[in-house]
Amino acid sequence: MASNEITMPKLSDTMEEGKIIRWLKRPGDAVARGEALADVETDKADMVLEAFEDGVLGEIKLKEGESAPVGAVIAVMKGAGEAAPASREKPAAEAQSAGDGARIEADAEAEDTPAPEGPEFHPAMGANLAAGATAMARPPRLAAVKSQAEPAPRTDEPKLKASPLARRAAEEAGIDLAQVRGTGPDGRITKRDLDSYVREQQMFRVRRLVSPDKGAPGSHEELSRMRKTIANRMAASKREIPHFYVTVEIDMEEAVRLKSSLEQSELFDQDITYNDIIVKGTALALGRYPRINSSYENDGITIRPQINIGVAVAVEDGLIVPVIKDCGRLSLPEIARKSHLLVGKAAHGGFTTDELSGATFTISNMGMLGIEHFAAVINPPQAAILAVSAIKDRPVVREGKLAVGKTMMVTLSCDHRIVDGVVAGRFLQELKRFLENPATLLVQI
Amino acid sequence: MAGLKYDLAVIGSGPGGYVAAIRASQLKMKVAVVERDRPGGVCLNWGCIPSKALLDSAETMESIRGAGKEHGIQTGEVSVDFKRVIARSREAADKLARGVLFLFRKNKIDYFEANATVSSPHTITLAQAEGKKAPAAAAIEAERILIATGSGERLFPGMTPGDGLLTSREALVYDRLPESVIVIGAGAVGLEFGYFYRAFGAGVTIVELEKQMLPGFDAEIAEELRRAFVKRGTTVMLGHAYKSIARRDGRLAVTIEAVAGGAAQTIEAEVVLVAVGRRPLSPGMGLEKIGAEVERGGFIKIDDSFQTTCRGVYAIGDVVRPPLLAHKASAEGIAAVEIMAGVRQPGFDLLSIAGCIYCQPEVATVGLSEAEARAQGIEVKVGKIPFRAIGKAVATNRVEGFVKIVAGRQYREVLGCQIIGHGATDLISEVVLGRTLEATTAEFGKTVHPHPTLSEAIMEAALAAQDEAIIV
Repeated sequence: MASNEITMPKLSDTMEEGKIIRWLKRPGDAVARGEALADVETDKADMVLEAFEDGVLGEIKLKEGESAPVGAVIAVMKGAGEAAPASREKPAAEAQSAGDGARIEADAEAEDTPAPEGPEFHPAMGANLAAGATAMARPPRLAAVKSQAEPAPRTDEPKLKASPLARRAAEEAGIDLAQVRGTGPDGRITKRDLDSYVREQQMFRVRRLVSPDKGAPGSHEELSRMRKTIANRMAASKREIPHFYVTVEIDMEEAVRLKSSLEQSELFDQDITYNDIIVKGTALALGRYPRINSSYENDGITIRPQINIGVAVAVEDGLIVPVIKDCGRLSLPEIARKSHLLVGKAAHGGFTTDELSGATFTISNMGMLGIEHFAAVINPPQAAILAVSAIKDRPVVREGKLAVGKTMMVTLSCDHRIVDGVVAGRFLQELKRFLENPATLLVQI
Repeated sequence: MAGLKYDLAVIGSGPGGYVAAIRASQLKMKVAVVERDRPGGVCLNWGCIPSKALLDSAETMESIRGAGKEHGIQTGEVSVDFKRVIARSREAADKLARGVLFLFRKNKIDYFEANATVSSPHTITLAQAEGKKAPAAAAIEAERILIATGSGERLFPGMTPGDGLLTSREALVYDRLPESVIVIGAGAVGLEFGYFYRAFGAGVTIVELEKQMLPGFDAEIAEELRRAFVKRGTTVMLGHAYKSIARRDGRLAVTIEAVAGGAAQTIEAEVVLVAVGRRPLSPGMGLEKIGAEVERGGFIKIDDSFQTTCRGVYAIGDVVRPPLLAHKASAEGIAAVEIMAGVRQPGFDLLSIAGCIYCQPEVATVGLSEAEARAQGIEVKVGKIPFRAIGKAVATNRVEGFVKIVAGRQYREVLGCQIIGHGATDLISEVVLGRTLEATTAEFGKTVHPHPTLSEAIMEAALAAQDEAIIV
């Protein structure tokens, strides 16, 4: 079959050359279309080079650590025909190891053998038991075992080795542990393995911002792991949490001025965004109204000791909420730096699980999309979420005269089990006061 | 000399060095060990082992004393042959030291009694050690060298031990029961000897610079321990700095000063035990010549693989970093040789090393304290169970102390555990295992602990950390 050359792809608009950080496949490895071949360092970020077609990786021409200009040949891919046996063989081999000795009889007798009546073999027990059972069972039963074991999906769930901490953290972050490579004894998955998995995954999946128009009309797609987590969480939130919504219009004239004067000063290595200003204002307001920074747990209210604000960021297959920890103690530039780092990771990957969990309050900002007004669904067990809309030119009354002002709508969604309208209203008033007098954001209170 | 070429040469035969040597031999390395004192190092000869023998005698004394009032068992007058108490502890040390030599022979490890100098990254020069025969060779060659020289007692500048002025080393062979003792330093060593002398009836005064016993430990533990010492009739002077020492009519007079201010005062005793920490034994081996850097405080600088800044030369145990504990040294020794042999990844979890103090009540801790966790910005849940709520503790009247479990609020992982009470040093291992397995409080709570045992306190503390304790 014909060999195809793999060339250094242009992974960003400004990219001129790329460096191979590491090859993820070795010569002779079967590669499926879309599978990761190598990590490539570009001028913007570390990216993943994916295979464009099925095949077998042939010769590698650019070694790890070496650079080549865009378009240069970096490896050779052999045709799909040669790849097929290699890539198809694996599942068969696995099935064999699951059935083991039982398989031989099973193949011959499965069709004629009546369904078993022995109670020992419960269908749900699946393939693993079948392997264990072979030693003592009689041939006809062996066949039966096989026919039962086969349809059961080869799930690793029951024998998956992972530490309790890794399980818990994976559950919270919505990660399928079966995908994680364990480095503990006998391949046991530890929290560290989970963290490095998350880092790797971010490099593949979450590296481009939203492409919501993907998907052909009439097609049906399995939900991604992340999508499923979002689906479950949001449905549970709306099912269990009695939401109510409070909206306020905030005059952002001064905040706009503050932002541009900070920008012009060029004193900070990190530009301060409106979102950073809103995070800072929210942290201050939460400090005054700890009731909003709380959670409903075991029929009680837990006031969270720290203010950890999650900032929802849209990514390819959903959204992730990186968390700026301990916002109450951070200055505006510190928040800007952290948030820049986290948003950068959302685009290019590299999160640790801790950076994606532990939020005590969430801000969802659709300002950049020009949204007039919206309300968000609470992320349990948090007590509230703030939906931030665009800053727009709107008529305002200043000193009795009509003028053109810059205002922004924010809507707080609250869990009515623990937050009442008055508290929500006061919190928003406080937030409004901070944002309309943005000098307060610069004072360390 | 062809016979003196090794895959690994270990300097020091303490719990770090001898364990590393045996593990290396298991991994098919040809190993030599060089020791200038006695096989087994400080742990077996001048630390852990003989001191535990002494503390066992002290506990026996304490229970005999309490036997009448407590159990109605009348003993008559109790007297002590203190020379026998000391001799018994030396017997234990000797027995174990012989055991180390046996293990060396069994594992075909060559043992040299000598002072070692690292004269090149692959050569150790041997010189006659004090009180020993001339070494069997002038030098040995090795592919790799592992430094496990440990630590020595620290003294105040200008002090020399003798005439009633002791460090732990002298105290271990001081075979006259003093009528009064001043202990300077309320760390592990000071507290163990303070408890020991008090149990045999000596008047004991413990002087500590910091505001709590066991500086750096959980404050609640330290306070509980202070109360236990005071209850046993020990004078505890916290926040007092040592100023000077003088001899006065065959006794020792120590001048101290309150850190908070105030006039200096002088206290007297027959014996003064200085227990103000230990210093790494890195000097005198020629490390500077081979380019192995030594950090501030005298610790040898190492990387994740225990390799010093001189390639091929490794270091473990007290001589590289705190905590200065025998089991940490052993674990590091095993890790170092396994990394050399390529059967283990670099790295070592210092946070899962338990610290144990063997006075009564015992203290054992692992991982982070509540304050340390909070200082790192971790949201925590703390479960605390007093032993007075545990059936076995009440039945045996060992109700001093408590168990405290510090768990992360989010995942309930066990960040740390602090135990004070009878049997604490044995109880802690369950929590250490839990940390190795990354268990959460849920697993501790779900594990059925036998009744009645003191270990129930761990289960209950874990449950308490999730607001589900049954017994409190």
